Amino acid sequence: MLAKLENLQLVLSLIDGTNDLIHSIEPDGSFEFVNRAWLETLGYSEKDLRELKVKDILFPGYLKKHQELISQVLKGKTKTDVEVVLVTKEGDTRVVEGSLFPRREEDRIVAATGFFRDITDRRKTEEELAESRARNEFLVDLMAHDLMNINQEILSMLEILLLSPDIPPQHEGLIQEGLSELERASSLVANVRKITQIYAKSPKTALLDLHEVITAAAELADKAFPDKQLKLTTDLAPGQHAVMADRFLEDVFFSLFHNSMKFDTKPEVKIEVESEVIKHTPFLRIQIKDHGPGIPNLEKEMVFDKLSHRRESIMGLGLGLTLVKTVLDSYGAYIRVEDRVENDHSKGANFVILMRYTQKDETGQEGSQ
Amino acid sequence: MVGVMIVDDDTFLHKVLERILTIGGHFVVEHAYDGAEAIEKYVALNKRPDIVLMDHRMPVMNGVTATREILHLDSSAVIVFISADNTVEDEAMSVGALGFLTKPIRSKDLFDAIGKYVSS
Repeated sequence: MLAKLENLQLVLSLIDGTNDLIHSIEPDGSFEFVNRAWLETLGYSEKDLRELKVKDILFPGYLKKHQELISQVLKGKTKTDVEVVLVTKEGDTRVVEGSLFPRREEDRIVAATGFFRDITDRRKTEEELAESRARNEFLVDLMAHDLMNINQEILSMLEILLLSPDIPPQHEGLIQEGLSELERASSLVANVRKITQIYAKSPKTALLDLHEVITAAAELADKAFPDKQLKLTTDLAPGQHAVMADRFLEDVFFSLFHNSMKFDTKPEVKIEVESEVIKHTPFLRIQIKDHGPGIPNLEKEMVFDKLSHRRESIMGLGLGLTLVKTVLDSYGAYIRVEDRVENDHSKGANFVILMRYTQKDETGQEGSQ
Repeated sequence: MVGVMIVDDDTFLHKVLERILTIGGHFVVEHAYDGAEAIEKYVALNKRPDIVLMDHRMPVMNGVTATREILHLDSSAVIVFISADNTVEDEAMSVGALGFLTKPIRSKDLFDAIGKYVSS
């Protein structure tokens, strides 16, 4: 008997000590019980409670839906993930989420009991964050769009100058430099825009053939350096591996290839792309190995760091590697950089990506790994 | 020598593009500054352009809608987008555009695209 009493006291202290809102509603809508947190959050007193019905504390838009829920709970069902807006005594609103379940006495359901957590502040923060992201995306998109148009005009004007037969030869170099700076600026603007888009929305992924994506990215990177030639070798076959990704995956490989093309001073830039299934895991290891100057150990850690402006200025790709990391993060993939030849960074870099993949079996059916 | 129609709300871009196209041996048959005007002028032309260079984000009517309408009226129209808004590339291609060039583009890319899509 004493043990039962102690247990009851323990339950009562838990109910009273929690910050969750607990109430028990009788079939006529009156309150059988509410806990301390309920009274404090909604500002009602025990005295108010005697006159109060559940409809009095529900925000009008939630009344019908909540009454239906209570009715089902009183018939014996349990409802989880219930979200409702309650009205405080002062007229403010509190958003709560939780569950409702029937309270039984012997075989009879006597009340609907609800456990709720006040998520008003969290919801407000989420809404503010979403608004801020939307505003940010809108402004960046507007700026990027107009800057690209302005860049197009300046680029075209410089090209017209360059194509003019009257241009003094000593000015040609200056114009060419102007053109490449303009393209660098455009690349930076494009990358900022993409990063903003990725932050604002969850990726809309589909199965993409890895070989196809890599080939397209390599063609673009090769085209960006008319004085160099990209020699890409890969063990990946067309259709061999599909990954869940979106159009930004091409940017990942383009940025990595572009980086190698930029820093490798040789006219023929060799890059090897190797893939390997990591057994007993859902991941495919993709290694992108170049023969450029490599990345010293001290800089390996910060190479993808979003806030490492110094590093970005060294890389000079205008947030290219930040974009790489942002895109891969959005897929739940990973990237790190190693030496192509262990312990000798000067022999080139090895970017290692781990991505979830799908492999086609012999019948051509795709199997999820 | 290819006859080009330029559709873009940026008036200055019309001038520089026309200059570049002329240097490349092509000529501009018509200018339009929004999607609705593009449809109106395209239909009114006695000799249709060999290619339409279409922007997307324009007042009155955007490029994707204008493309859909022009292709509805003339399924043989050759429309290539030149836009700063690459997020609409899939949409543009799905309504029948043959190509999508993201601004800023070099003249070589423009001439390559004209050669590729007009000959096709």
